[in-house]
Amino acid sequence: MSFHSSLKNVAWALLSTALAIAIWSAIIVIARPPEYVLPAPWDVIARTWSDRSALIENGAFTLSEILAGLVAGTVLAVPMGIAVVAVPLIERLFYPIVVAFNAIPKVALAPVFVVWFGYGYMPRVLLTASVAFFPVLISTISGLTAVDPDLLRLAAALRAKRSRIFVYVRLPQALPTIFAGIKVATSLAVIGSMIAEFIASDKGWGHMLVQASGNLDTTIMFAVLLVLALVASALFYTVAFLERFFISWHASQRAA
Amino acid sequence: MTQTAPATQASPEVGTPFIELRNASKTFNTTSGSVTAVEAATMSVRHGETLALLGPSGCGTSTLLMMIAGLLEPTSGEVLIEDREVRGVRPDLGLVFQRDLLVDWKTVLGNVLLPFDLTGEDRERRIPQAQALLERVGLKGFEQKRPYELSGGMRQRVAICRALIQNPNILLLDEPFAALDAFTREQMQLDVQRLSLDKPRTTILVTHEISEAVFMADKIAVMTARPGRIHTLIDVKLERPRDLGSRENPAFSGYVTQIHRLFAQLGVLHG
Repeated sequence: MSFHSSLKNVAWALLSTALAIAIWSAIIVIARPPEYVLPAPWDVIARTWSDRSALIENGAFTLSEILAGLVAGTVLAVPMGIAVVAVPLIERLFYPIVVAFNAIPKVALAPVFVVWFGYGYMPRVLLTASVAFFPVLISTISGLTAVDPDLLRLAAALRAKRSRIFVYVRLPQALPTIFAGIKVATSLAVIGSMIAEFIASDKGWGHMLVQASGNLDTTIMFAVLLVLALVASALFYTVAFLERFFISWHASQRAA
Repeated sequence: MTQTAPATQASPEVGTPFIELRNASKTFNTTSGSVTAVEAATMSVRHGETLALLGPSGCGTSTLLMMIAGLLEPTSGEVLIEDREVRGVRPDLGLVFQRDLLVDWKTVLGNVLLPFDLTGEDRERRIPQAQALLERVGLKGFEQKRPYELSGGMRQRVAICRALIQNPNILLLDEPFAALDAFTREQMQLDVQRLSLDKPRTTILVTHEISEAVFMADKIAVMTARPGRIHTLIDVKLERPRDLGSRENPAFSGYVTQIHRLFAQLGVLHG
């Protein structure tokens, strides 16, 4: 992507943000809702600034959970996906369990994690990781298996070892799909950390939201949502940047 | 996979019987019963010759090709190369399919060298050879490009270079030009012939186009479908190397007409 076109993208992003704030402001001015229903954008921004130290302190906590969960989930899921594809026995033994586990809404695991690990940092990372794990696993498996049969024939005609076919054909071919899975996992990790903090935390943005809800302090809730949206977007773009770096050759990265 | 021959093979003598099929049949068992893809194929190709397998879709040409490659075993009968039954894949084989199968994550040069990545041989040593091959097909200067920057014809040329990088004795082409436009196709037919002058090589070409078969082949196996059978073997006695003028030769049109009539008689074509 050229500098010019990225500048253009930023301009469009700013414009759409301005539009959203304009609509929000119009609702405030015209409908005058009570503050506990819908606070004004300027009040939210003022509150974000005045409560910045609490937001940063709790945010660092939440962000570290998201990152730890995302990294742990990915680091476990990619090798597991490789193992499932490479070793038929592993597929037969574990894949049905994995599918069943995936079918469980991960929120339902939170109370169990609380019983096992208490209210500490670990159960929250674990819940986040378990949410991030599956999209990466599924995408790794589908990426590794979706290889052109003729390309495999070509490799067979070269009498290539399975391990070499894996390294030189299957893995590079799977990378775009794996990245797509990590992108989905990034969004899900944010959700995972929020749920974990709703249920089992005395810190973090999730905890702030629960507390503010009890006090009908909608303005601080909006402030949390605002910074959460910013951080989650930044995370997403970081992954997109890594993707561009690793698979610049893929069609998805080539659009002018 | 069983090893049938040493990794580097001496080139067999030109003109000696090289590939032989004796009543080779292949039946696939599917959920809806068994399907005979190839029935009792018998033929012989001398080393250095080009054989075209010509027929409508579904006449077992690709199956036949895969049996010669050693990627499929005949259900009955024999496939022999140099008087030995084919067991497993030979090391001196180049394959080109209708789709070029270039990988996007490698450069043009990297794609030509992909076979060495897959076999684990020293690829660095082969770079000059790969560059020379690319130059011969008019792709000098494109070595560091990515496949998606190339046209369909250029991509297929890279695929042919990849098939030839190991200097195989046998080149198997499965409808290699079917996806290309008519001009590119004609150019590629000339290019493949030119590349075959480097070293005597037995080429087997699957095609659905009569004039392509006549232009490229020394021998044409006219095939019919359901089950796939070799109906007739036709020797093409046109001088080599063939050039643009070959198509204007009355003998060329003679072969085309002869085969066209044959397909009409066989009911493949009807008007």
